[in-house]
Amino acid sequence: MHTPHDDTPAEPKWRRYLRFFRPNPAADLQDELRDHLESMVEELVARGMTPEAARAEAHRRFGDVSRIRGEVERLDETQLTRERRTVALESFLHDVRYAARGLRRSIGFTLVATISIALGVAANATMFSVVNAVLFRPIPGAHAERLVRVYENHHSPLTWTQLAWFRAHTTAFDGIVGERYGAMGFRGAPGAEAERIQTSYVTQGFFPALGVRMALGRAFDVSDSADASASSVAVISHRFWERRFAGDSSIVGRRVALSEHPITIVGVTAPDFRSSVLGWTPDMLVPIAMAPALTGTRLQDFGGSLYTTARLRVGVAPSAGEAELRGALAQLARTDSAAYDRTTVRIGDVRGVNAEQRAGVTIGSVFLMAMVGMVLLIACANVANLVLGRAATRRTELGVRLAIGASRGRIVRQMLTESLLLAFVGSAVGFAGALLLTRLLPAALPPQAGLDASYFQPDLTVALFTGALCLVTTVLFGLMPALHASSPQLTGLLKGDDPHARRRSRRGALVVTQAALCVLLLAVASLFLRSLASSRDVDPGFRADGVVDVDVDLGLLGPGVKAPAVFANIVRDASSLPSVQSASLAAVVPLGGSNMETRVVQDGMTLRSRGDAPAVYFNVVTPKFFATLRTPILRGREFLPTDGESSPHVAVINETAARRLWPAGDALGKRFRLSGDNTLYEVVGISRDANYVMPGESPKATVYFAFSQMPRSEMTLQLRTSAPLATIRSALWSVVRASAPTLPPPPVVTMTDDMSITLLPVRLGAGLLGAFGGLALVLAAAGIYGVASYSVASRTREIGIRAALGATRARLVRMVLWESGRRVVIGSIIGLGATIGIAAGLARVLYGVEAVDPVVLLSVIVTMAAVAVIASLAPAVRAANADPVTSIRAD
Amino acid sequence: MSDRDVDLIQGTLNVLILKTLSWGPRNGYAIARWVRDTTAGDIELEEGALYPALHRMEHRGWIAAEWGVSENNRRAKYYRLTTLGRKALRARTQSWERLVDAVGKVLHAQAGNA
Repeated sequence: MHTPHDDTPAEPKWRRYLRFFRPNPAADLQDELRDHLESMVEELVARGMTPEAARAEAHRRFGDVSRIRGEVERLDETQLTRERRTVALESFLHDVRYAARGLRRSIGFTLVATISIALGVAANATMFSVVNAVLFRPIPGAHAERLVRVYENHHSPLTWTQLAWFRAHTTAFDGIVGERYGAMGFRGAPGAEAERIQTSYVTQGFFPALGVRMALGRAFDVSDSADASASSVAVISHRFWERRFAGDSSIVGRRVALSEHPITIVGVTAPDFRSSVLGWTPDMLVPIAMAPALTGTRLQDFGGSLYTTARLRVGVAPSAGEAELRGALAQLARTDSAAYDRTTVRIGDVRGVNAEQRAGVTIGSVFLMAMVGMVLLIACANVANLVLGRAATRRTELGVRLAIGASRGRIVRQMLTESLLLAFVGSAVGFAGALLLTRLLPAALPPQAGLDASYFQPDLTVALFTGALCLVTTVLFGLMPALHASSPQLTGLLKGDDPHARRRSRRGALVVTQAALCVLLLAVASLFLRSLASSRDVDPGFRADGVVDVDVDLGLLGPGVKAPAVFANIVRDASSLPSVQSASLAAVVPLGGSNMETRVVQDGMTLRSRGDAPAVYFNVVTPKFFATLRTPILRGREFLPTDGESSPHVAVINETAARRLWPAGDALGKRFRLSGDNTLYEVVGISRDANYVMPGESPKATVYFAFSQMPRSEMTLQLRTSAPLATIRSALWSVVRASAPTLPPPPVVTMTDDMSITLLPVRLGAGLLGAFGGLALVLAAAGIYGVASYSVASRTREIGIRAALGATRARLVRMVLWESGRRVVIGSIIGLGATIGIAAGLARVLYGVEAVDPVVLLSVIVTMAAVAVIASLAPAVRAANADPVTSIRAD
Repeated sequence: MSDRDVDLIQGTLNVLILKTLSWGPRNGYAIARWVRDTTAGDIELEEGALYPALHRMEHRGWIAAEWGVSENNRRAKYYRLTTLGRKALRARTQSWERLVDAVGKVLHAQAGNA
């Protein structure tokens, strides 16, 4: 029950006046309902009830007032929100239309500002597309968020034994699958010309576990232990299908040959398929069950070469999966403790690069994003400058609008809308630019990288990033001018202050910022260029010029090939070519992007565990290797044809290995064995140290073995020759064909080109930073020019007076130049300070770079100063040419 | 609550209110009284339905409200029909008549066939 009055307390009369200011729906409703009740009471009283009874009766009839009021209030509230939203949207659209009109009117301003933003955004969006591709992009397919990579220790691929064991002894996963990559020989039909293609062996369940979609045909699901006839099926990639078969839809069921083995194509992957090994773009995927037949190696003898991906069961956390894998590994270790000594297993992110490269790629990405971010900051400073200038020309308009009562917030909002519109158009153009640039980028990388044109294609993540950039740039270049323009310094004007003075200093600050950022970027780019130059000048311990590399992979022919005999013939025939001075084989081309490591045990030493054996780099080579590369043998001899399969095992080691393995005494004649093997090798020669992994690296202990005593199916034929590449290529193909008639023609490149891959990060850095630096310089020049022009224009009268008082033209030019120059000098000093900080870090990773490199710093300053002078020259001359009489009348 | 209430479906309530307002602006109380008097008390508009309906139609633009002062010097909210409301009234009157007509036919047919 309720008493008559507590539902509708009387409203003090004064509250009604509040309605002059804004409507009060709650009070209105209360009034409306009270009117209803009172009317009812009056009617009842008129019929003869006492007022008290009438009131009680009215309340009884009316029912629950608060419930009705609640219902109606809710209705009104919904409506009000809807109206407010409409009003807000309409006001925004009005602002946008107003801004668009304004921007159309000053087309020059709009164009320059848009181009500035577009350049900055294009550079950033492109860079981020690359970062996205190598760090964030998930692999396509259903429920990819449940996929994890499985690594041995930090980042090593698994062995087949480990993978099979994990598959059998864990329950946390729906599937654990592996991929092993390599090249194979392919024939479109048995007997047709052979070609070399990229292939991946995949374990059972690979396609469903990764959620691979098919464009045509079906995936295969062959047991890892199936025999060769049951597993002779293949899936080809969409790219290979288009390139090699011109998208022939009758491809499914086609019989082809892979490493001389007949195989049937059963399906084509969807275009978005990506290997689980980042950067590897296989043309063909075959069941790993085929590997023994194709290579002659049993699965358990492959070593750690399976890039492993696991699909977590629904609801299982990665940490729980990892714990279970650890438990399973511990069980496995009990079966063979020597093999799994010091081995752990861990789970990694499936997105982007594998764990092996992740740390390096992350650091590189952050660094490059920071650098390219500076380009955007410079562009923003430019636009802020333009917006400030524009606001200055609209001072009267804004002043009038403020005077007639436009709120400051309203004007700020309007100016920000204009900035947002500018940023939006600029970002859209920039994004379009990024779409184009990301398609061109893979072509600029060496073909070894093996990236297709769509590799860096921007996706939704990049689009969102660009959207965020748009908002950030709006705030960066729009907020300060908007706040500033909406608060005219009226008192200052009344006191007769120079209204331009404050503005000039604000714009001066923008120039200082631009110069600082620009100097920083240029200096860092120069450091990369310098490192690149030093790497080219460095003596790697061998002579690469004049050497031609031929990658001969007899593994493409299947397991039946007698590799040592075939290679012997190839070397013999190549050596007898007229232009060839010497020919040899090497398993690894030094500085060619790959390397091999092993652990050795000096004869007579006993070890507590495998991990205690010294790690060394190694290579497998034939006689004449050191002669071909011109690496001097300091003592002893190099390999000889007499070092045969059955003669005593010998090795050549470099100086560092000699010093490290036998610190006391002479290494020559000493013997050692490989960890886990009993064969003893005698050191017969000591070679000079040579670079192996990175140019200019600190010397690494390296051991060389004789090919005849450690044969392999893939070797690089190296020749020292005076003939140009084009002429010798066909001769070399003939030589290879004579010994291995069915082998696809192998790639023939100069050793210098082969080595370019090791310098790829530095070259990429130098290229990108050079581009950023150039862009920054152009933008900064535009900024300096803009500010100098504005400064001259706003000081017309002062300049006129100076001219009238006898200042020479040279003096006036100097005055304007000095104004720009002073700011650029201040900015450059700040920029150099920052550079030295960054360079100290870079000096540790870049070869041949010092934290304070006077040549670099000086050249950057000179460049910056030259640009500043050139950019300010036109305004300076304009000031000098001004007619004093008209100038004084101005303003 | 009145036990003589005729069950009023939402659309009917709206059409009654619109019709009432077609004679001139009224406040909520007057609308309810007019309906009650015209139907000799057969239809009693419940306040709990009346006010939400009024506010809903106001948002829809069928009726507009203005504030006035009643004879007893109280603030009172008067509703009047808008052009949009007049159209709605016409449309709904027609469809109501069609419905009554159709229901009548069915009822008579049943009586005839029984």
